[in-house]
Amino acid sequence: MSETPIVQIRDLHKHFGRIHAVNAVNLDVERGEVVVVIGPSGSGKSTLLRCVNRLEVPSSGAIAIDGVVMRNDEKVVNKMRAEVGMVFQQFNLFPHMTALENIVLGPVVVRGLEPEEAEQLAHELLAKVGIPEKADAYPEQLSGGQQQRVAIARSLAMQPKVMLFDEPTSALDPEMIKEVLDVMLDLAQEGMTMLVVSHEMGFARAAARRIVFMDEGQIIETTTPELLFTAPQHERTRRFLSQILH
Amino acid sequence: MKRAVTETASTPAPHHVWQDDSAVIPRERNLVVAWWIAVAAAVVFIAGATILWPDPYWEIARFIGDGLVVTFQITIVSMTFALFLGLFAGLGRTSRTSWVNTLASLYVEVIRGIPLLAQLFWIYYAMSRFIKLGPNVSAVLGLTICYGAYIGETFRGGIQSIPKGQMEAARALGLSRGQAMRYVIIPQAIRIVLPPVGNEFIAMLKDSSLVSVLAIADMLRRGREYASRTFAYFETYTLVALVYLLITLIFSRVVFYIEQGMSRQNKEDPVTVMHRLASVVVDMVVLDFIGLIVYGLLQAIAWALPGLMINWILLAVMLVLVVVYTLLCWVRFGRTPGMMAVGLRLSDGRGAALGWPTAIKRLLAALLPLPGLSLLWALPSLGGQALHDRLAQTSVVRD
Repeated sequence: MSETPIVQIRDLHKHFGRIHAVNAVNLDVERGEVVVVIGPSGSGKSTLLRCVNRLEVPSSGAIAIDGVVMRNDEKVVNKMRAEVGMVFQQFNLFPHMTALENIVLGPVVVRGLEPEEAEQLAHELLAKVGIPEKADAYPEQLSGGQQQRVAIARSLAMQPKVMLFDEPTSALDPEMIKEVLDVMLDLAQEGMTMLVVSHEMGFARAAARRIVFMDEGQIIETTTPELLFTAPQHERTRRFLSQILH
Repeated sequence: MKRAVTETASTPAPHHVWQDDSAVIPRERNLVVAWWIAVAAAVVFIAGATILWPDPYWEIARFIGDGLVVTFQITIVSMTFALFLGLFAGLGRTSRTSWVNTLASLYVEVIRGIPLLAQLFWIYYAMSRFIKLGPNVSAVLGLTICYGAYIGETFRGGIQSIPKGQMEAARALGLSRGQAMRYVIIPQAIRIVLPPVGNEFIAMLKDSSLVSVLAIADMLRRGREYASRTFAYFETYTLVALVYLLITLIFSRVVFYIEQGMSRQNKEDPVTVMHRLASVVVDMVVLDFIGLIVYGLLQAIAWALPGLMINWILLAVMLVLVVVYTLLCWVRFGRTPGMMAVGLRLSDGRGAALGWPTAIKRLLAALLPLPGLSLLWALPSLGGQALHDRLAQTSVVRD
């Protein structure tokens, strides 16, 4: 691909005190690509993801979003964050706002959209994630799955260039996982660039172009879904897979 | 936990029925019953005594009446300033800029470590070596500085109790730190902070009695004047205490409904007359805050333009203010701040905003003329005496 990758990560390190959470990571995410990051807990996947939109400030190394190298400049960072959608494990919807208001906030405050315009957009997005009737519901009136879908709609409202998903289904009851994954699959099929931390192997198999396996802060191997399940290269990967695919 | 242990250790007697696990906390019903008993007792005694023995009691009531107004005025002025000061202190203590944080923390630590009475003495007497402040200014300053620190701590707690994920989600959308505070953190913090701030208000109402040592004619001071003149110590201080009690009980009930309102947001709990009354009291206090600013402005104008009929203008402005406040809040939010505080909504179901025609119709029909009650608080100062005169009025003995 000749275009610059949307996300470029070069020699990224992150320390928390004595813990080396992310260790010399290099990763590119191309336009329209879905990359799934897997690995045992504490392997640095979430930290890596949070470094991408600078919720964690890297200890060293460089990250460029759409060719713009990130630095400690509030303006640059805010502008970048508007282009990078993030979906959290705990949804993090704003509890004092309705679903609609949650979605409208970003476009109106950050992008300067007219409220009517933003509401129109929000209704469309709610329809897209399959809960058009919940526009006026408060988060506490929604199920976990519905909350996560609103959270996805909230991120999409900023029309991001890339979406980050930080274990989006880990906090959900089992029967709600599918509705969220379906929305994510639709997004992937529409060509959204996605960097996903998840252990949903079904999703990885269906949507991911590449799978990254991390352990102890390092990328152990980068492979395709087919190869991962048929021929994992490293012993560490094999052990991990045998533990999660019982 | 504790209960489970006792239960296994000794089997409870068969007739004993466990009600629920939270046996440590008295049941809400008991609290409500206790409240009604206390209020009824206070009302019965105050009313009974003034009617049956008008000789000392009705006299005392009339005598301490204008002291009560002073108590309210000092509390409301100081509370207004303390809220602002507290907001800065609270935001300062959550600031990332280290000198701001240190300064705010220093203020809170120092002030919280000195008794209010000592602070009042220090401001009024000790400071007089450098700058002479009047008793009313000293009183307001002392209460403001002291309560600013406490309220600052309350605000800090409220802001810090918002989960970290909220800030992260807001920042991830591209909001700046300031925008995230304004749209996401502070609106949530206000709900958490409202009940404790209500309690600070009550505490200040009581602590304002300390300003009587600065020779300000608040309720306690007026009582002392009466008692020292007539030697009716028992009658006077009993009545003073009961009036404080009654006021405090009423406000603490309002705070109780505010607390309840925080948790009832979307539930279909029954709405009682008490809820409505509580919302009205909150609106009254809010209106008095606004009225106070209006009053200050009018004072400034009156100073520039002598001979202005300031009292009638104030009355008119307050009346207009009540109507506009109510209408604007209904049209914009579908309810007034007081209703928000106790979790009431005008339109059933969701907090949909009302259109102008509906809002006007409602105001005229259901009319809550009650927020206008706050006018009564303003009325004594309509009597031709400016607020500062009233505050400055020291130990005036009637006739």
